[in-house]
Amino acid sequence: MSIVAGPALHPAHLILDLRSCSRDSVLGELARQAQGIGVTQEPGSLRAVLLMRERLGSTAVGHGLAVPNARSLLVTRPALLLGRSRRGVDWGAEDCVPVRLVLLVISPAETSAPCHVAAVARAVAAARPARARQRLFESDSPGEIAELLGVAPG
Amino acid sequence: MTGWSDVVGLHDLDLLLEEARCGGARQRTLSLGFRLAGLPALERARARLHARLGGRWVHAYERAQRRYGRGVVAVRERVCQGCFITLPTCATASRDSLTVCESCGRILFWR
Repeated sequence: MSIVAGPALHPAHLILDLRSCSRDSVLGELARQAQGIGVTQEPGSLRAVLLMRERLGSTAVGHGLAVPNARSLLVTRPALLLGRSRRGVDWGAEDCVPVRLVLLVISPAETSAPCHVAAVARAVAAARPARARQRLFESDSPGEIAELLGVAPG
Repeated sequence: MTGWSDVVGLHDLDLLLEEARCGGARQRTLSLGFRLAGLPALERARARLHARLGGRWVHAYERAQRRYGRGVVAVRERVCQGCFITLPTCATASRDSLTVCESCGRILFWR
C-alpha cells in the first residue's frame, strides 16, 4: 500500500495489548497514550469527548473493528493510535462481534469536518479488508502496521 | 465541572453536531458504516450544557459563534488561532477566568 498524507505512526502510538476490558476504559487508555505522545494534556477531558461521540452512535463498524474519533480543542495535532484487545471489547457493534482492533483518529479543532471525516475514512478503508485486519491484529512490527494503515512510520 | 471545561465541552460538542448535521460529512460518515441515531440525545445534552454555563460565558460564546462559526479558539505561542493576532503580554494563560481575544472577540483556549 502506498503511503498517503497523514500523521506518522510511531511505536508509541500503538498499544499492542490493551489492558482495559470495557469500551469506556479502552477510550481512557488510548487518551492517556495520546497524552504520552504529547497530543493532548487533558486525557480525562478527551475521553469525555470520545464518549460523547459514542453517544451519537457506536463507532464500531463491524468485524471486530472500531474507529473512535473526535475533533477537539484538547488535541494539538492530528494523530492516529492503534489499540488491540486479545479478549475483545463490547462496543455495541451492529454485528455484535467484540472489538479487537481499535483505531483512534483525533484532530485539532481547527480541522474542518470534511478533512477529519476523510482521515477517519482512510483508517476504516485501510483496516476493513479481512486480510489487512488480520495482519494488523497479528503484526508486532510498527513499520508493517504503519504500511498497512497507509501512514508514514515514525 | 468548571466553567472552562463546560465551555470547551460545548465547543467540542458543537463540532460533533456539525459533522452529524452537515450534508457532506454526514453522508460520508454514514457511508462508512457509522450510525448517527444519537443526534437528538446530543442536542439535548447541548441544551443542558448551555443552560449550565453562566450568562457571561454563553454571551461571549454565542456572539463569537454567530459571527465566526466557532465560539472558542486555541492560543499557540501567544497567537490567537482565530484572527492570528499576537496577544498583548498582559493577556495571561489562565483558565480561572474568561479571556477573549481583544481583536476578534473569540474565547481563548490556552493550551
